[in-house]
Amino acid sequence: MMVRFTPFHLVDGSPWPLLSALGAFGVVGGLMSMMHQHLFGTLFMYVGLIFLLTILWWRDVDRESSLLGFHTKGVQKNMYSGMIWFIMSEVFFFIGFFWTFFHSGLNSVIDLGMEWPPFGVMVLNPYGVPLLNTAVLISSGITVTCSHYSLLISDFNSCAIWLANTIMLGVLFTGLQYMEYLESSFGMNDSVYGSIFFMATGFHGFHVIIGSIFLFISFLRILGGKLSPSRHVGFECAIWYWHFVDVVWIFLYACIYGWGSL
Amino acid sequence: MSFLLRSHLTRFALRNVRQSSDVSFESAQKTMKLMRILSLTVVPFSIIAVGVNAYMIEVEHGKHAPPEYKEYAHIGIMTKKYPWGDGKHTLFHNPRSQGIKGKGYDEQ
Repeated sequence: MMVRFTPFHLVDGSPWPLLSALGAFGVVGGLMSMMHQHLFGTLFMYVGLIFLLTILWWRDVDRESSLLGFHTKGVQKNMYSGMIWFIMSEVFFFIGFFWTFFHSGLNSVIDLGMEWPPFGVMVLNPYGVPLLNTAVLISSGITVTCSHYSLLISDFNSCAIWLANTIMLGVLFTGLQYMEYLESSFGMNDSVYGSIFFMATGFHGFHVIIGSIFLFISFLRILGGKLSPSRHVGFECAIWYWHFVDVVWIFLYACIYGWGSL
Repeated sequence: MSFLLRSHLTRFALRNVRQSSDVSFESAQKTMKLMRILSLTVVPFSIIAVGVNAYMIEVEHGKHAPPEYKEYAHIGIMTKKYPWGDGKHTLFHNPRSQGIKGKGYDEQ
């Protein structure tokens, strides 16, 4: 029997970190190949590899926590802090995009017709689908809270049902944004407005997809009986990430869709 | 020696570790009741109301044709070709209302 006198998790050897690093390197190489040689094979191959590796690595984390009992209170506390630091780094990532938007939006240049939005760009009506997207995301924040509190009062069925509702609302948001992208009258190469619009909303949409997947994994873990009212670190982190995605959308809506369309 | 190390670690764990249930069962039940009411009334109502409004706006928007195509230097910037297709179409290109420089709209 192994006895450890430390509250920390000293991980066993694993090939996933090295393979993930090589995979990330391959993704960068694949991106360069796509952009300069117009070849997509390398990129798709390494993106697929990274996708598989994330499943394999996090499957091991799930096994270490739920089945092997390595996640002490100390480890859990560090996981919570780690997630907070990660979300903070993502906040600063988006601050960069908002900075770009306001740098261009508040300094009129002759090239864009001395106005904002630039002359010739027909902005989206913020009271249409963007408002629906806002309602969908705020509603999903309410349903995910329902799911969390159901877990806290040991109502596992309700927890799973409300989480499924949350995921469906996330998928609805992604579908609506996809349709908006197809319908929009300006593209990514339509002045700096189009560029920053699609960079900011595009990365936000990517984060929604990641958040939905994270919630879906929590959903599978609830169905698999791996979460309890007193132990659900991954689920709480997924909920924090989802609230972060929601807040970023509120800012996107207010600044880019709202103020940006005036 | 290991006793000293263990007591330090124990003190560290007790001081810095989050307790498992920050909320009591009763307060969680109360919050759950409120959240359930909101989720079953406000959520579907707001999504349906805003959705119907958005649908009507989209239908109205689809009725009129896009404005006549005019070429501007800052619209449709094409300093490097895209890696897909003919290199002139963005990923979510809208053939009805996004024009190509030198050509105009794909669909009239």
